[in-house]
Amino acid sequence: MTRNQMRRLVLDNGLRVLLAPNPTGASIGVAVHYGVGFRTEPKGHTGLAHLFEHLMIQGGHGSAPGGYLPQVQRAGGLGDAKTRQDLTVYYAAAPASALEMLLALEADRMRSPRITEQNLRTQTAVIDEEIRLMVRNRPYGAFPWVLPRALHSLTENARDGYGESVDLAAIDIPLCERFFVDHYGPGNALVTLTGAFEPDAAERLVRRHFEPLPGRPVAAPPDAAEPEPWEDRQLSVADPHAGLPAVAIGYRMPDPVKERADHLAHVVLAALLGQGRHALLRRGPAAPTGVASLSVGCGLFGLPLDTTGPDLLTLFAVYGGATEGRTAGADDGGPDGTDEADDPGGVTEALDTALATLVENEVDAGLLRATTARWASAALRELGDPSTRAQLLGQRELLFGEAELTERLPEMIRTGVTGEQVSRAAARLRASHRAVVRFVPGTGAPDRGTTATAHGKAVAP
Amino acid sequence: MSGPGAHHEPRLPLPDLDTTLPNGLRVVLCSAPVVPLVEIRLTVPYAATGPGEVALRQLLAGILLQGTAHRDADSFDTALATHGAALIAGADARRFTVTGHTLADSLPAVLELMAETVLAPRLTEAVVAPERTRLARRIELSSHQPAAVAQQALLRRRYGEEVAARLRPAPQLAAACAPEDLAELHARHLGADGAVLVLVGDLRPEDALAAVTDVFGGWHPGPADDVPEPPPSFIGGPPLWADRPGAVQSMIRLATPALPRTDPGYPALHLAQLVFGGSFASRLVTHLREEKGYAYQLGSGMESVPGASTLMIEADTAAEHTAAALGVIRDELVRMAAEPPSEREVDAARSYAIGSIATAMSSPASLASGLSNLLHIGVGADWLHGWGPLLNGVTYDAVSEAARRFFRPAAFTGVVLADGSAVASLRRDGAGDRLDF
Repeated sequence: MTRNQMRRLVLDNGLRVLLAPNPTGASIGVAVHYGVGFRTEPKGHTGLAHLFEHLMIQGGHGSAPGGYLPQVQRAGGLGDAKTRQDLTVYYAAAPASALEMLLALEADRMRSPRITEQNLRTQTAVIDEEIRLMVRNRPYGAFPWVLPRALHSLTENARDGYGESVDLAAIDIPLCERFFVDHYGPGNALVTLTGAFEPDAAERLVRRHFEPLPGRPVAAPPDAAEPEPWEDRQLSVADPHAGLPAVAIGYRMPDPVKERADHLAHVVLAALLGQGRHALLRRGPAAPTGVASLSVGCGLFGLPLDTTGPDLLTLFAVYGGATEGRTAGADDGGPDGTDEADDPGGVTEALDTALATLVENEVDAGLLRATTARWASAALRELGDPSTRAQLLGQRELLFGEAELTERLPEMIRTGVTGEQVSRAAARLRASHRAVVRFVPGTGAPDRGTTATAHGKAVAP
Repeated sequence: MSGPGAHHEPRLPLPDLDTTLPNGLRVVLCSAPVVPLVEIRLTVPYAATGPGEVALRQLLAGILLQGTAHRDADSFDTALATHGAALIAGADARRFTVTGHTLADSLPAVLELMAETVLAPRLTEAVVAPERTRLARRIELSSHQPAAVAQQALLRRRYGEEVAARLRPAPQLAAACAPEDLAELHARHLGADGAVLVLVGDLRPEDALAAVTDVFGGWHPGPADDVPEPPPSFIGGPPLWADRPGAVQSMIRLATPALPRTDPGYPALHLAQLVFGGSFASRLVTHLREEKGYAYQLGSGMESVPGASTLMIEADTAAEHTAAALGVIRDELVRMAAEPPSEREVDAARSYAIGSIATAMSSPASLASGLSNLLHIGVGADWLHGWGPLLNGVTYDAVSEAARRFFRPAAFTGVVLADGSAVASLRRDGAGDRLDF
């Protein structure tokens, strides 16, 4: 693809700016990333980063009554926000004519978000509804959150983003204000613009709206260096909403910076195992029997290079009911059940066999080429949307200082990963400890406390 | 009088090419070279099915893309993937769809693969048998998803058992389906006449048309009268309780018949529903979410099928807030007539409606899906282009009139999928399935 020129700025107050124009189309994308997420939020206050996102989305003191989103929508735009492990991102897409208005709204809430007691109470209630929707009231709602909880040893790395109920209930205005001061300064933020704009004009607008913001020190993120898992972890989860048993498997991914090549080889390995009809776990002798659905992915949110912390390669499979004689309901469902009798579809065995085969014989070159080509075009497709492009560029810039990684990734995967690297990745998975979590349907109460796992993904508002 | 401050936002592009081949296949092409891909949307409409027969069509859809007379499923899928292509086939009660994308350079090759399987799928027992099992599992999986359960309950409530059964797949029908039955189904329903192929992306319209004509020009037309009929209308009535023991959140789904998208009154109705619950600044979202905190996911929207639209209201709310949330929804419906949308509200809805459709369709993928869906429900390819001027011509009075006419609580029917404890106080006479609303 034609690579668009990117421009980087750093304002005196520390704000980083990334301008990535794309003249095709009539829309712009804006993303503002803050370098704090649910992994790096203060200890003892789990859920604060996500709750703060719900407050921040309301807008700043200078914006008209009704807040941020109504103004964006009135301009023909769409906006939202997400809380991730290491960052929180506010993003919007809008007609190009709305550029200055969006920048003004972002600068306004970066200066002084409108945080009120009433708002805090309401958004705490809205988040309770969000948890019910995403986790407590749906089948397999504990996936994938149960995997980091099972595999990682540090509590920071085992969080789900929503936070513990007791922590959420204790969040008050002073805590939110301190969080804002510590983590939402311009020096901990990055503004990314994509789409139909002229870079010089955009730079002037960015300076006009953001340069007046005073800089302030940024609180350092906690050191949450996670050791490699030193033993296999098994867990059973009672799921009252599931009609069919399921299994989730999680492996630690290689470090995204120090082990970049291995990291990308794992991305390709996951695609070989589970992407498309020709995937190794979907056909041929290695395919598990009696599986109703199966997916393999990299990244807790299905996106690689999404965090600087420990990330996961995940597999999730639901066992087919209709034609299978055995179900997990027939097993004892004990928490330590790890032998094959607990795996009616043979998913763990099929996975081990597929990995062992890849260790011994390099993947067929044609299959590798087909798998990576499909992966690459799916990744390119994401970049067709200005707001998604702004989010992904900004994310890699904030985490790795490498916005270009987002645009190079499709090609790196398509031509940069060899069969030999994939074999090494398979050997590494075979040799490493993993988490295996079984979902046992129809038992237990739908309560976060008694499932021993639970929780959901932090999307909002 | 027309609303002030008419907006002059950039219009969405008209298709570069919109033509119908001699066999009846309509080809709509849009150049949008944002990324080096082309988005592919094929829609083949057909007439209503018998009870449960959607399952047969879904079975056939599941077999498309599993190879051709000359290629088995693995080599077919590998061939697609090598071009960076992914395609998915699906079916509902009104249409088959093939949806996907390919690397731009490979468009002719991928169209050829697609045509090969659409025109002559691999209908062997070796392909059909596992697909029957897969379909049964998929149907079972969705039967545990609360949103899917609520959707089925709402269809039964709206149309009664008999019509709802025509919209719902019956896996036992698929289980008895042999390759010969599928061949017959394929010959009867998968014809070019009335089908629409939309391509959006990094393409040159003339080249793309030549590639399409090359591989789809020989597609047999199929019967001309195989088109979906508008669904029957339905009447308002108290929402029904659908039991989901242990649900910690209740799903409220309400519906009332509205105007089809082709109706001159549709733009005013659309603006009224944006004021009611169709945007973040709307009355319902402000009241139920931003004031009460009763819901994370909620709102109103228009559901369109060929010849008809339905005004929908949805909210997912904690079991203990169910009665209160229904009360808020009712109050806001009543208020639409008592306090019709103000000029300020209408203007905000108008500028949102005009700008956001261009924003939402700024990616080739969403533009392709949007065009494909609009053409399916029977509006022209210029509809997106004309949407802004149409909305600018709507008067405040017309919006008030739509607010009075379409938002009467008694005109809605619906379901509440919930644990019994959530609806106990709403059950008429303390028993039965009919809920106070």
